[in-house]
Amino acid sequence: MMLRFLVFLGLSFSTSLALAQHELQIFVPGVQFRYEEGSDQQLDLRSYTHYAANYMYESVLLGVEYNTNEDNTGMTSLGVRSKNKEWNGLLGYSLAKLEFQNVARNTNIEILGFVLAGKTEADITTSLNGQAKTNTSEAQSVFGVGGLIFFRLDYFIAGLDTRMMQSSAFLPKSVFVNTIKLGVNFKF
Amino acid sequence: MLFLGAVLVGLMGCKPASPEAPASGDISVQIPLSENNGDINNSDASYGLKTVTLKNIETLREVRGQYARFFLAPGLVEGQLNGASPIAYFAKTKDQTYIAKDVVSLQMATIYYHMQNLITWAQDLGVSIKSPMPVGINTKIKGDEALQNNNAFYDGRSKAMLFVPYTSDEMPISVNAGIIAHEFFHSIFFNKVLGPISQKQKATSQRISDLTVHSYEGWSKQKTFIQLDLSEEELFNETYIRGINEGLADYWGWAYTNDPDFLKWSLSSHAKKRTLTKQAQVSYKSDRDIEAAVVEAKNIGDDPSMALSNYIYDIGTPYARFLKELVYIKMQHSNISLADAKRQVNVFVIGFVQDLAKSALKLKTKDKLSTQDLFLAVDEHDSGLQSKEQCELIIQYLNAPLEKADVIAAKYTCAKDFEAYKVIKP
Repeated sequence: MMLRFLVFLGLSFSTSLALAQHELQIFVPGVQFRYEEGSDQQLDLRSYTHYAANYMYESVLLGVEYNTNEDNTGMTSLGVRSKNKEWNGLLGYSLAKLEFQNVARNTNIEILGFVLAGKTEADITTSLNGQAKTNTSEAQSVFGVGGLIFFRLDYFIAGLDTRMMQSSAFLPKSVFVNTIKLGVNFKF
Repeated sequence: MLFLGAVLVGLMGCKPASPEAPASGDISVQIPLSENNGDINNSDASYGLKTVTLKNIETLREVRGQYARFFLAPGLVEGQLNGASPIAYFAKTKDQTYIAKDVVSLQMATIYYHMQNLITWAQDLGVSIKSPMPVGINTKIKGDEALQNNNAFYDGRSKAMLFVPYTSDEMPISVNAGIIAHEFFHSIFFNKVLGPISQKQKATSQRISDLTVHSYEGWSKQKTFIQLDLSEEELFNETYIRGINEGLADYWGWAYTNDPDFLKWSLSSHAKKRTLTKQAQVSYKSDRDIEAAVVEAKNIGDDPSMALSNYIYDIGTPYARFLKELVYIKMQHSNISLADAKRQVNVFVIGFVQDLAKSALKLKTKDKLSTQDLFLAVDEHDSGLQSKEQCELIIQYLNAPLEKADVIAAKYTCAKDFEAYKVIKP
């Protein structure tokens, strides 16, 4: 039934667009899930807040993103708040694009591969008996590689990516990351 | 497109980053530390965040090194701690200081630092201590609820220091330098006194070994000891030894921190009773006091040792106060630094503990130790060197039970012996 429906819609498949086109994508804060080790030696699923904006020209994607999360441990008298901050630049390329041409609205699904590089650091606030001291860690390099799927419906865009990232600041050094984000896209 | 594809394939194929090896060697970390300088006129201590050096770290990821090895929620298998090492999470700042990213890591770094100092301190006094010290954190204690939280132990069987989860709103025991030093002293006392006694007296070995599992709040409710029918004399000796163990451990806590109220940061409900600040009225538990307590304990329950579990602190605290005063008298009247005065008293304490073990090993069924031994041992130890003020401090304590009982009897006095003073018995 679904297959018939797709055929009816006149599914077309293309690896690149014929027309040169600029696109700006701006996302509302998304959610990123990472498997990181805690002091209990277990890989715990931790969520980060993900801010991103991309520029696409034809099949090439250039993106920037900021990921952050905050961990609080301890009690009233002794506590540690660790705010991780990460800035990355992305370079991606469209590997496949699924156009729904017969739909009245501009709808498509696009698959991209990407690499990223950036920096990460942490603001660590240690509080002791009501007094707090904040230290900022030395910035460490971040590298990563992953795949990304965009779903576009007119100006609306949803993104889902999965990636492997690596940094000496991470524990373990390589972390598996999944990101969900929603936003708007403007073509010009 | 081909170019980008090649870049992608290239980056996917190579290792994106070369991970740093876990830090090792001498490492700067930031930990909570007591900031009392030992000023005799200002006993106020406070805790602040300080940068210190952890020495001979093998891996900071587990804060494992020459002085401590950590176990997370360990069990006890054939007398040894058993369990995984907790992972510590640190971030390095631009000035190469490591900052703990969670409280468990902060506790591990703090305990390692104090173990490093305390083991070095003990070695300087000629005491050999197992190093690295096994340390259990978030230790799960089965059975008595009172032991499951807000406590710390030295376990003589595994020769390990155990910290149970801390749930109070006060500063955790695991970062309280005074309590860590207190517990550390129990390891010395076990090695010097309880270990040898337990080896010789097999009948009581399990009991004495268990007694080194020290607790502040849980003793009175612990019911895991083997019940033995001790005579009044044996119970007296056991109670006195337990009291001395606690008293000397409290002195060790003060000597390490300069904080006479080191308990108040984590166990404030116990702090007032066990403060080491100078008291207006000198007193200590005399032989008669302990004898009476022992008789009462034997009369009221099946387990008199348990009944005396809080009383042992009443025995111990005056000895700790005495030794602290002794340090200040030595500093003031021998014109030496606080550190040198402490070292002199620490040397005495270690010698006293060794003599106590010898005395305890020689005890026959009806023999009893004496609560005056420690005061008289100071007089003997400093024979020919003792200042008048030190001698007066000793006789103040020795005469306290007589004054308390309002007894008109001959008292201890001080007499000049060449250039020094010595105690004259009545």
